[in-house]
Amino acid sequence: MGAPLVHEIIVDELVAVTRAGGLAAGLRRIVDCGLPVPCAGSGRTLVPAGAAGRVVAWHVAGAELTAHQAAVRVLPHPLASTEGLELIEVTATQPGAGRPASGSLMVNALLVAVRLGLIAAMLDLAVCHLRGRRVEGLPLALKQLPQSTIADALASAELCRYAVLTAASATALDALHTRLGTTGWSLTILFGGSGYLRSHPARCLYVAELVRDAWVVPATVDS
Amino acid sequence: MQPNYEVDEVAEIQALREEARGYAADLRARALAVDAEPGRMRPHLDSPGLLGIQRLQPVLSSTLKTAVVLIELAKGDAGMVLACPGPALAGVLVRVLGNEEQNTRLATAVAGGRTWAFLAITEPQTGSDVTRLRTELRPDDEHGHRLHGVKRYIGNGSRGTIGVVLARTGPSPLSLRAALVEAPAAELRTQALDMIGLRGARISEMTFDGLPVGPDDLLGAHLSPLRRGMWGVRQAFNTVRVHVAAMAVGTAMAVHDYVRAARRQWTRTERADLEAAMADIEAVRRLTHRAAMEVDANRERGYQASMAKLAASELAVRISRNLPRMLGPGALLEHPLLEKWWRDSCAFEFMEGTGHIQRLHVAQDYLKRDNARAS
Repeated sequence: MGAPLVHEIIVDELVAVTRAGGLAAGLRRIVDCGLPVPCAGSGRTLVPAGAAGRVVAWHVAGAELTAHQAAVRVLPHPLASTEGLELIEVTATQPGAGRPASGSLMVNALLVAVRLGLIAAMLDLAVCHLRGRRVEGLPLALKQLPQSTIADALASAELCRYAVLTAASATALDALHTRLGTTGWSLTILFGGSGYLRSHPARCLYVAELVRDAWVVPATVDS
Repeated sequence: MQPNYEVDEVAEIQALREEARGYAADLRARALAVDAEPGRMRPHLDSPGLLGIQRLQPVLSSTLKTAVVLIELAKGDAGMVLACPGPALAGVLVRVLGNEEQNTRLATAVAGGRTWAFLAITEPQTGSDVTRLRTELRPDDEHGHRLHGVKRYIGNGSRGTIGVVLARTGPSPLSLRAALVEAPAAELRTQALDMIGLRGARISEMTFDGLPVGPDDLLGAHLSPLRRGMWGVRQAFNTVRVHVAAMAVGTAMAVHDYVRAARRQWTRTERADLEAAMADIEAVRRLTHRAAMEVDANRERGYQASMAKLAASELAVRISRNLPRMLGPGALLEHPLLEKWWRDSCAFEFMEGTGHIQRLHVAQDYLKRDNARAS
């Protein structure tokens, strides 16, 4: 096991920022840390709307481009924009620009904290929703199947919080993100069809999955 | 008797599968355009894919044939299947509960490939739990009844010109009735909802403010009171759950095919992962076929249908979330179809009862049979 990537104070702060302010607020905090933002091989990635100008550097196709070495183009992405993010495409201003990228482990660890904040916020909302829906005279929140989902989500989030404090490899972080995706989906289901509306706050869990897609190198590719 | 699920050997089904497979490419080519602008269907109405779906009339066939066809069509794009004009899910309920005249009325209304039908069951507060529906058929001297209530998450609700609405005439379990109604109408307001995925289905909200319903509009008048409401709805649900499972399987297959074709070379480990995913898909495909045969044998039996729907919706989400990762970071952003299918796959969870509901059905059915064995 390698050295821890993040301290729990940072994790808890990021969880709190995201829980209160949403996905864009959490990602903006990561951007403001001055860490390079990971991009897909084509240079596509998601960042908070208007934050691209504050990004210090980008990781594109194995190269680290400073802000001065990169050109940024905003592309339409209706779902991401509902969550305050924008899809951008980053390209090098000159061929061969930049130095070899050193990996994005720290960013990926911080993204775990952001997703934990989203899960905490959506758990609060789901419980509120379940208290308001009644079946056979009882609130859904008192039924065993929803309670089982809530318990599993709480345990999973707690485990992920501990795990991110010790995770030190791309494979470990990717596994954590997979787990967070599964947990987030289990919460989305609790909202029923309403959680499938673009106007519903649970859309943050869908968009977070897209951010993970762009930012986190899959373990299968890494290994 | 165990049904024979070696359906590949049945020539008619094989022919249907081949025909449906032939439309998949056209559906796929149009999928992103309809996803972006689901209200703009005119450019697609005379396309080979949509005309093919109308020719096949998948929902009006046996459940097994429908499942086979829907899997192939959904390998093209499930959103396009649901965007296609036609009787859609309303056709399933009218087949079960409607008389000859009502079946003809629905078929005539959607003939020509320019009009859609809706099946309005789900409500904002009660979901698809039909025992707790609040929409009412209130007595009316002039027409017989008037429809009052709100339906939500209704496919084609904002553009359908005819459809079936489920409502109750009173508090008893026997008071559940289905009405064949037409739109637009002064007493009906509709609004398309902005959904995460399956946007071609034009999922909508419908508000009924006293829509007149005449005696000829009520389905099941020719049936005994016990068979006019819940009995028919349960059969329709069992049938439609197999349809949803088939579309989920088809979507998982689409993702698998796409990912496998996106790269020329795979490592041994990756090939093994792809094979494992295909084995998962194949298992759920067979389960879905089995469920379809069970429903065809007895539409009142929903055990396998619930199990297939549960397994297939989980499969589609899992495959569409995990397999694109094999293409590297940003696969969903770089391959818009993969992103769309991932969003679409989440919809299957919510259609005709969530996984929680299906789990209850499967467990309760098993326990009931276990009790019968024990006694």
